[in-house]
Amino acid sequence: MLMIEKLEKKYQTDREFILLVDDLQLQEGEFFALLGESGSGKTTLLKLIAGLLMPDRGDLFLNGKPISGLPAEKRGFSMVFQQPLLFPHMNILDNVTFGLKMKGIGKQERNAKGMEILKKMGLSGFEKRYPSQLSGGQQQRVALGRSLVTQPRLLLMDEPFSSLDPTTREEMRDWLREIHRSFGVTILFVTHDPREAFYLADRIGIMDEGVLVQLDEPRKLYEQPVNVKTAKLLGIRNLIAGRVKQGRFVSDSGVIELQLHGQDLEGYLMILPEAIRMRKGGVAGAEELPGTISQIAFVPGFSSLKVEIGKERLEVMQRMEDSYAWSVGESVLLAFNQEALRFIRK
Amino acid sequence: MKLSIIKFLVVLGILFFLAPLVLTSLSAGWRWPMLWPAEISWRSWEYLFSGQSQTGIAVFNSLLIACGVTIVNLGLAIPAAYGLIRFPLKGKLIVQIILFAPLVIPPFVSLMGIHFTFIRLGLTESLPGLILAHLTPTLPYMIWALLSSYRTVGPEWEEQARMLGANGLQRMIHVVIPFLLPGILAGSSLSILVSLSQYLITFLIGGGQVITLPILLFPFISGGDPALGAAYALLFIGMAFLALFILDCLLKWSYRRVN
Amino acid sequence: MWLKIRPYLLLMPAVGLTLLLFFGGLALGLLQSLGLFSISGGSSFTFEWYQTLLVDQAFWKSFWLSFYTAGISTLISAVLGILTALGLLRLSYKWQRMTQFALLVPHFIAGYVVILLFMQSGWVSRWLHAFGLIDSIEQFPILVNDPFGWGVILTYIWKETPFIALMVYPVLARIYQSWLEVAQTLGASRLSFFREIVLPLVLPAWLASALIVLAFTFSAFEVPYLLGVTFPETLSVFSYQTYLSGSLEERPLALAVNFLLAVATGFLGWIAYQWSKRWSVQGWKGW
Repeated sequence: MLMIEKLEKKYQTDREFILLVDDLQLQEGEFFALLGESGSGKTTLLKLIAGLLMPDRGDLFLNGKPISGLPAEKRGFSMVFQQPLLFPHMNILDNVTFGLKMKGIGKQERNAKGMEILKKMGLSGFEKRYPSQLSGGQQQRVALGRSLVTQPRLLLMDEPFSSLDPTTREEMRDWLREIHRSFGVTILFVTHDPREAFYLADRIGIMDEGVLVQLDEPRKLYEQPVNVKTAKLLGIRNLIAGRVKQGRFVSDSGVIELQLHGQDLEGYLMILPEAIRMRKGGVAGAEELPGTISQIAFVPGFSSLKVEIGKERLEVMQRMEDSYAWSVGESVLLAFNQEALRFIRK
Repeated sequence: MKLSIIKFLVVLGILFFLAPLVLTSLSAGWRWPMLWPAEISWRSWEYLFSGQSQTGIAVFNSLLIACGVTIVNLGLAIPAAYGLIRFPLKGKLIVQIILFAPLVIPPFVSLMGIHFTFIRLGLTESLPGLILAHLTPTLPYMIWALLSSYRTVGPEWEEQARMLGANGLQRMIHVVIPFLLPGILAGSSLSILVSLSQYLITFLIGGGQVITLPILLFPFISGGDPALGAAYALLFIGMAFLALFILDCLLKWSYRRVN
Repeated sequence: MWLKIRPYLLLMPAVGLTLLLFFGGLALGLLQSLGLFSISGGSSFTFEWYQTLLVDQAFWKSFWLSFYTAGISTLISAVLGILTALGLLRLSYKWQRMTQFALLVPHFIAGYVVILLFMQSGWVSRWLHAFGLIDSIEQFPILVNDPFGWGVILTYIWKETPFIALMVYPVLARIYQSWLEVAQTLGASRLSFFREIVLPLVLPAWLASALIVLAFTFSAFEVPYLLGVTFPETLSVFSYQTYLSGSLEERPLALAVNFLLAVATGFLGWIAYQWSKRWSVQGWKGW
């Protein structure tokens, strides 16, 4: 539905960047997340799509029609910001129906639609209150209701949950999925939190220094990030520098050596923590590496362990199902699921 | 509206304001309907800077009073603003009404009432009396500037200093005052500017004996020599501008230090 | 104990001095206007001076003159002030500083410039002649030292427009910064954003600053003294003339006028305070 072609815009954070998006297409009804660090240009891209910023070059098309020339208020999109930004002098109902009022819809129809949307947002009975009387999560739900009531062709969301506390944030995530499903609206969601993006999105686009570096479904993205920076951004921590030579990977420190098919290249070995099997120390089998536990932390349902192999350090997740308790300083042997080993080129 | 139009209006406004003053101060017998004076005469400026005129003493008195008032104001306002911001206070509203009343009720009204008492106490026609009289219109501005400055700082810095073992005086010197510096400078600018601009109060209490710049200037602009009036007006603007410019430089310097 | 009285001790010098100098002066003025503590000797309570005022045609003329010059100046300055503030929004800090120039100039100098510009032989009439719009000096209307008070009004507009602009500017800047983008994504044009969001939010600050201007222009002395005529004169000039040029016996009359001025301006200030308080009353968060 939305198509971006060779979009270009200069923007400034602590230094000057150029945003350059060659090609991006959103599908009708999909939940698309833009993931990137602060300053990566994701908010700039969002505002370009919203029409709050005008591109230096390039075009935007909505269902084949160019919209680059249209001001924000004429595009029929709506946007939820980091802050709820409710109008402080209007009650909740007036806030929610503001967009309808701007469209020139009569008061009765407006209020009926407003009440209906408040009900869907779980905010019935709040219509006469003022924004300051609501909690942060409630305010953000009103803001979302205010955006949805106009039936936008595209809903833009700029880190809408980042100012909420962790518990509310998780509730809001579930709730947003629900809303997305029942309204069938296309959503473009900006975030810097990979878990949020994985949890919500049908597809994720990764932005870095103004460029869209990778775009895929969450699972594929997680299994094959295009470079180390992207892998780190996705929250992957076991990245070991080294090189592939004649079907084997050797780490720079020389302590890790594993079978790995592929061309002879320099780069990083990515080991997903859940792909590691660990057993008590003893005689090492083929493709097993000896190590020492240096740190143990408990994550609900799992033990998160740091295992040192010479100079390298790996993060290992172990289910807490077995009654055996690991201890710091213990010698262990690690085996790796070949399918889950990935090599990232330099 | 185009940006350039707004800028053009700003410049035009300032030029249209300054031009008549400059032209009049340089004119001699400038007859209607000539747009520009036929010849440029430096007469009024020569008089202004000659020993004949009382320019020197007037500038000196004006600045002396303004600085004196500002120093007293700082002594009064720093503790007062601190008390208003940092402590729960019964009757806060009353205190604020008292302190800010001179902003809306014209100070000359009160001064005429107390004039006779000033005479009896021998405070008229003296610099201390004038400093006292100028306190009323200036103090609210100083307190206002300091209040907004205190508000931006917040008590957490002081609490941190306290946890590091700083006593009340040390906190004042090392934490509060440095943070307050922008407010102090902004308040001082206002205080100096308002004090420099006082005519009626100075006239009542000074009795025309203590010459300040407004006292010197007023007769010229109320039907006296127009060229001299214009020259003095420009001198006044220049002096106020210079005073504010110096304080502004200090302000920028202090901001750089805090951030 | 010490902790409890500490804020009061901190406030005492400033509050004490204001009470003594300012409110003491107001009280002494009131007592003298009631015939007590008379300078000319004798002290007896009387409403005589107020009665004199209330039946005096000249007093009512002065009141009316003060009132409408202040009212017209305030109204026009308030409108121009908010327009100026809207213009300032688009300017950089350096340019905003230049407009503060207007605050630097005291009222009597602004008044003098208005004289130089708008008197019959002033610069404006010379320009009109240069453009061929008038032929003789008499064709230019009398705008300075005129009985209606045009000169006074012009000066006040010149001085108070920047004042109101700078009072509402921070509020305006914050409104635009916070809500313009979200309103645009909801389909609001610049005009409807101004009408629906900006106007209601800026109103308390705007009205409060206009009331302060009204109180000031109603009671200030220098501008009407320079640009007015001897009759009718504003209340402030009336008070000044009576106080200094009249006999000592007449001074209570001036002080009676002063007291009325104090009551009127104090009242306006109080309303302004109530208006500006509306910010906190509704607890508008996110400010």
